[in-house]
Order: sequence, then structure tokens, then C-alpha cells
Amino acid sequence: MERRKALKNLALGMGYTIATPTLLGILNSCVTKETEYADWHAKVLSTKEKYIVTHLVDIIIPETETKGAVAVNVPQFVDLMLKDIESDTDRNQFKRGATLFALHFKEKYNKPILKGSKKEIENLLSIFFDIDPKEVKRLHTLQKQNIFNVPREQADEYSLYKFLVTLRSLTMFGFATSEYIGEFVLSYDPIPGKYDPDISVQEVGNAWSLR
Amino acid sequence: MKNKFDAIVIGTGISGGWAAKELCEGGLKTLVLERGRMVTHIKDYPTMHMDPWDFKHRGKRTPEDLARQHKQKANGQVKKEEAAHWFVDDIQHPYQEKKPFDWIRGYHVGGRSIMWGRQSYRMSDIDFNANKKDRIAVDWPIRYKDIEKWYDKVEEYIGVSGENRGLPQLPDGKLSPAMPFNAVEKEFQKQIESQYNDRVVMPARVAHITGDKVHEGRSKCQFRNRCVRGCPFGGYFSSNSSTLPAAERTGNMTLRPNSIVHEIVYDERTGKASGVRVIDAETHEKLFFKADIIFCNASTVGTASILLQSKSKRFPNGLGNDSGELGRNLMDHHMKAGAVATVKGFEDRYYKGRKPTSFYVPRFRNLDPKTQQKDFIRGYGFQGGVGRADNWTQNIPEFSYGKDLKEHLLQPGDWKIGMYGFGECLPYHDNKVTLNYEKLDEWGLPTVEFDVKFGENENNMRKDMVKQAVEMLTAAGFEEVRPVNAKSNPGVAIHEMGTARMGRDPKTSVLNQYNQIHAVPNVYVTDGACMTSSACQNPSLTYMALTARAAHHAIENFKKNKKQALLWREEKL
Repeated sequence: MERRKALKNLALGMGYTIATPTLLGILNSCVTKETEYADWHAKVLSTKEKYIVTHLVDIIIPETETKGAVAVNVPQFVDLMLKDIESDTDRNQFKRGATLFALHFKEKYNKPILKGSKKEIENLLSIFFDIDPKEVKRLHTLQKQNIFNVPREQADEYSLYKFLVTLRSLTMFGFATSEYIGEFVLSYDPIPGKYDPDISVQEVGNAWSLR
Repeated sequence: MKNKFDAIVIGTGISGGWAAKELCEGGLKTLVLERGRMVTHIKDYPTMHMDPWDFKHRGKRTPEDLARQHKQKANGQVKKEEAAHWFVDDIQHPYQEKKPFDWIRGYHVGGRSIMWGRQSYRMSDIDFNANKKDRIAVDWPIRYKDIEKWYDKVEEYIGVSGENRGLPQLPDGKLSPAMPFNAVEKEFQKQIESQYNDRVVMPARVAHITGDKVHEGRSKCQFRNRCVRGCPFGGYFSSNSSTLPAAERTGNMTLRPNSIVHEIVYDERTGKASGVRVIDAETHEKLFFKADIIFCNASTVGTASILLQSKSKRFPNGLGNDSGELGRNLMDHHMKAGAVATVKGFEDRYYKGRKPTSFYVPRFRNLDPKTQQKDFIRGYGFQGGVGRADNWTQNIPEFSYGKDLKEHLLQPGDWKIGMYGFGECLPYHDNKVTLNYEKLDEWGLPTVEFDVKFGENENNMRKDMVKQAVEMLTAAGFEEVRPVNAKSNPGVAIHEMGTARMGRDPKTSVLNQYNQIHAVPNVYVTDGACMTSSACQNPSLTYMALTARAAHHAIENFKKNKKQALLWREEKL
């Protein structure tokens, strides 16, 4: 955290223009530059998985007038959570799902996903995410099942969505609980001092960051 | 270290802290023993100021860590990094279960007073009369008038915020200003109180400082809602922030952490207890401390275990166990039954500050002939929670992504309301803890074995909790009302009580009306073990009041005896 804070202060002090390639991976959501997707050492994710995860994280929560999920180190967070927190079963399903996603990519674009652009990856994600609400409900129900009870013909679908849904929820979690979002984008109030029971949302702005 | 004291207090939790304070302020040189580590107010609250991003895994815990707390994790707090260190390691502190029992413990100075729910309600004569009226178990040897002034004393000292509504089932208290209702809580109160004439919705009574009364060493609640981590402001009451520092200030307290009491020694010559045997948790050294008075406040199950281990020729089945009731009649509240809903129409309303509590619906069943139920006796209260959800933790049904998702995550989420019953549990003779001498712990001591289950009355009451919660949320006009009836093992409410009950008759109870062991009057038990029935109110306030009352009884007797001894000595001279 100290290092991140130091880097952040450095970046804010000097402006983004002089950020070195090392800083780009940490501070800047430059994944749109297709090949330059990351400059950090993954603990669990393979090179290919890291590439897919970084692009998808950037697509799920992109940079706007505020930083996106890549700029607040969500890919690194996903890697860490997979390593330390997710169960072996869930981690394996996540990896299996990432492999399936890469296979779908190859089928659609006839090239390895490592050569895929953000736009192409987004188009593929859209196929799986922009679907009928009834389908969404069915897939959520499928996800809730224990992997050992999933019929064999649905196993691939289960793994693929385990990957996509887990990644989406880790992205939201990692983004919303990051220091930058928590302190500077959401409304941050560590010691309120008093309780005001009824005020308008306008008075607060974005949601409170702490529970 | 000297080994003779006027009094010994076993345990530093919510009742042990009170015993320590009262005895020390009464002038007694008091040894306070705690089986766990030292925890000094503020200094030893490592997570008190941490934000989500300060935790390596943003508060989540690893499977390896959770495996060491496989029983403790039945309590949701254990799943979060911010508070997990307050709960015991189940591998190091095992227990046995004939039937499932979630025994949630904190072994450290302050005990569970650090992470308690802080809800503080008085019991009424409806509760003290209940066993007698229903001809169940034994009658309480006290009534509300016996405990009233002690409730006053405790509430004024610890600081309880809330509202008085003049209800017979929930006596008024000495309260500081209530934490005000937000827009949706107000709406719920308005709807319920206009549609039902038998129930009220009031701000929960919680042991937090509001208003301007001075509480030494503590300050007002800052609305951080990080109570469970230990509060650097002393905004809520704990032994660490309040009673133990008060005992310390008298100069009469000797506090010894890492001291596992495993026996209260009975002296046949005097017919009293002479002291306690201790194993040092760290060095395994064996020690003996003498005292004129012993307060056993090791928690309901801990106390039962110590007394059951205290065997002698006079008490072969455990100290004071002439009745055979020691370890029996174990109760806990049953919970996790109620309903949740989403509230629409208040999208532009919000609040500032994180209120550490919400609303309470006092018991409304079986209070009088009008409210009598067919399927169960006694009753329950509802504890509620109301607030706007975080959009990033809500399970958004659609697989949204991109700019829209990002925008959505930053906005306040839906208003959510939940209400869950806390139900009275009857004292069943068969619900018990015993000692297992086959499976010993690290210190060579027997482990506790639970044989406890809820009965028909509790199960029937749960159905009514769910039904009424659904009806009330629906009546209030809320949407997506869903019933909740989750598995609730005994123990999970962390309101275990009753293993050394008070009563009038030594043949059927362990303690008398002043919490003294009938046959060993210098041993007082004033933790949850003493409870004759469970009522449905959160019990800590009652433990504190009974402790203060018993301590004053002990101090008076101690002084009388000293005076008597002095007179005798003078006569002899």
C-alpha cells in the first residue's frame, strides 16, 4: 500500500504525461493499446489468462472521467484473490472457463486470443453477456449448483460462466473497495461524528464508500 | 505475586467486568482472572481505523484461516478480517457435540463485551413470573422490584440510548437520547403503528453514548459502525473501555490474564470455597489463589465447566451440584427467522453517518389473554435493519458491464429492510453440557460436550416469526418481501444461559436469590449461567444488573464478617 500511495502521489504531482512504462501498468488504463496490457508478475494467472483478465476487467469497468478498474489494479487483485481466497475447485473452474473463452475467441476470429484486440474481446463478451433476461436467470441458477451436480453437457457452459461471473464480481468488488475509488470517487467519511437521519442524495453525491 | 485476596473474579467479560468494578470500588482487594490474553483499551484494537483497502484481501479471509475457526465462523463476523481475531481458534479450543451447538467464544480480556450486539433491554415481571405461571422448570426467586434499581444503576453507568414507550413487557429505562430513525424506518413505524394496535416500532436500545452525560474515559458514539473492532472512542460499552479501567482506578484490582481457572476449591472445615486453582495458559504453571469471596463469571458454559470440574468429597458431582441441575437447562435464543424487503419511493433520501443499530419491535405474543397463541407459549422480539445497499455487493441480475455498470456502482443502492425474531427458549432439563475426560485440551483439562436441541415450542414460534415479519413488511407497502428461515443451531445467538439456575429450593436449583451457590455461600455466579428462564430480550443488561446486585450483597456480608471477626478478637483480648 505504501508503494502504491507513493506512486500515486508521484503521478499526481508530475502529471501523467511523463509516466514511464512501469507506471503505465499500475496507474494508467492503457490496455487499449492492445499489446501493452500489463507490467506486473502474476501469481496464479498464466500469460494468456492475464491477458484475457486484464482486457475483460477493462471492459467491465472502463476508464471514464474517473479511473477504470485496470488503473486501480483490479487485475492484480483478481490474481491475488484467486491465489489466496478462492477454493481450489473455484480456481480450477475459473481457469477452465478462461481456456474455454480463449477457444471461443479462436473459433470466432481464427487467431490466438493473445493477438486479439480489446474490441474483439469485447465483441465476444457481448455474445455471452448481452442476452435475454430469462437466459441470465437460468445461468444464475446453474451457477448456484455444486459443480458435481452439473450435467456433463452443461459443464462447459458452467465453467465459462463461472469464469465470467466470478471475474465480473471480483472486478466490482476490487474496484469499489480500492483506495482511489473509496476515498476520492465515492463519498468518504471515516468518522462521521453524528448521524443525520434524513438528507437528500444530492447533498451527498455518490454513495458512501464505507459500510 | 501474592496469593491471598479479599475476592476473586473469574472472567472479564460483560459480567466479570462489573463484578471487578463493584468489588474494587467497595474496597475489596480483588484478583481478576482471565483465561485469554491481555487486551488494553485502544492500544490493542489493531483494525479500529482500517479502511477496506487497508486489508490485503479487502476483508475476506483465506480458507486456511477459516478452517481454524470452523465452529466460530457460524458467526458472520468471523468471516471478516476486521474482527476474526476476537474469536477463538477452534483447533486449540475444541469441544464436543452430541447434537450441533455453535459455541462462539472470545478468550481475551474483555471477552465478548468487545464484540457484543450492544442491544440492552430490561426483563419484566411477565418474564420473572413466566415459569411459575406456565408451571415450567422452577420459579425465579426474584421479581422486577428486586432488580429495578440495579437496572437503573447499570444503564446510567454504561449509557444506553433509546426510547421509553411505557410497555408492561419492556420496562422503561434510564436512557440517553435515541438514535433517530431514517426516512424508511419512520415510514415503517408509521405504517405498523397505525395498522396494528398490539405492536410498536422503536429505535433499538443500545449501549452507546449519546447526549451529554459524562462517562469517564469514554466519548460519544461517532457513528462509524466499527464497534466489533473495538472502539477507540469508547462510544459503546465494553469491559475494556469502562468497568475494568474503573476497577483499575481504585488501586484494588490485580488483573492476571492467561490464567485458566479449572477448579474452585471447597474447604470442608469452613463449608466455604477457599480459593481457585489456575493453570497459566502460556507456561502451564499450576497456581493456587485464596480469597474470601469468589465471583464466577466465566460465561454460561465456562462457568458450568469450572463448577463441574470442582469435585470434592462433599460435592462429588461438581461444586454446589446437590440438585443435579448444574450444566442442565441450557438455553439460547433462536434466531435467523423473519423477512426482508425492498422499499421503493425514497430514492432521493439518504443519511449521513453509519448508525450502528436500527429498530426493535418488542414482544407482542402471549402477554395477556388477548395475545395468547395456540401453538406456542412465550414470545419474541424483532430486531431490524434498514439502509441503502451498496450496488457493488448487490447481486445485479443482469450481466451488465461497461460505462453503465460503472455509473450504477457509484450510486446509492436500493433501500433494504430486514427484520429477524429473537425468540425465547424454554429451559429443558435434557439440554445440558457435561465434561468429556477422554478428549482433553492442551492443558490436560476435560472438554465440554453439548447435548442441546430446540423443542416444539421454539419451532412453532419460528413459524409465527416468519409469518408476522412477512405480513408486517407487506402491510407497510414494501416490495419483494421474502421470508427468511435459516438454520439456527443452538448457540449461534450467543445468548447461552441457564446452566446454574437461580431458584428458591436447593433441591431444584444451584443458586439462591442473590446468586450465591445454595450450599457454598461465598461463591457467586452472575453470568448467564444463573438464568432461570431466557425471556426474549438480549440478556447482557440483566447479567450486569444481577452482578451489581450480587456484588453489593457480597460486599455487605464481607464487611459484616470483618467487623464480627474484629469484635471477637477484641473480646478474646
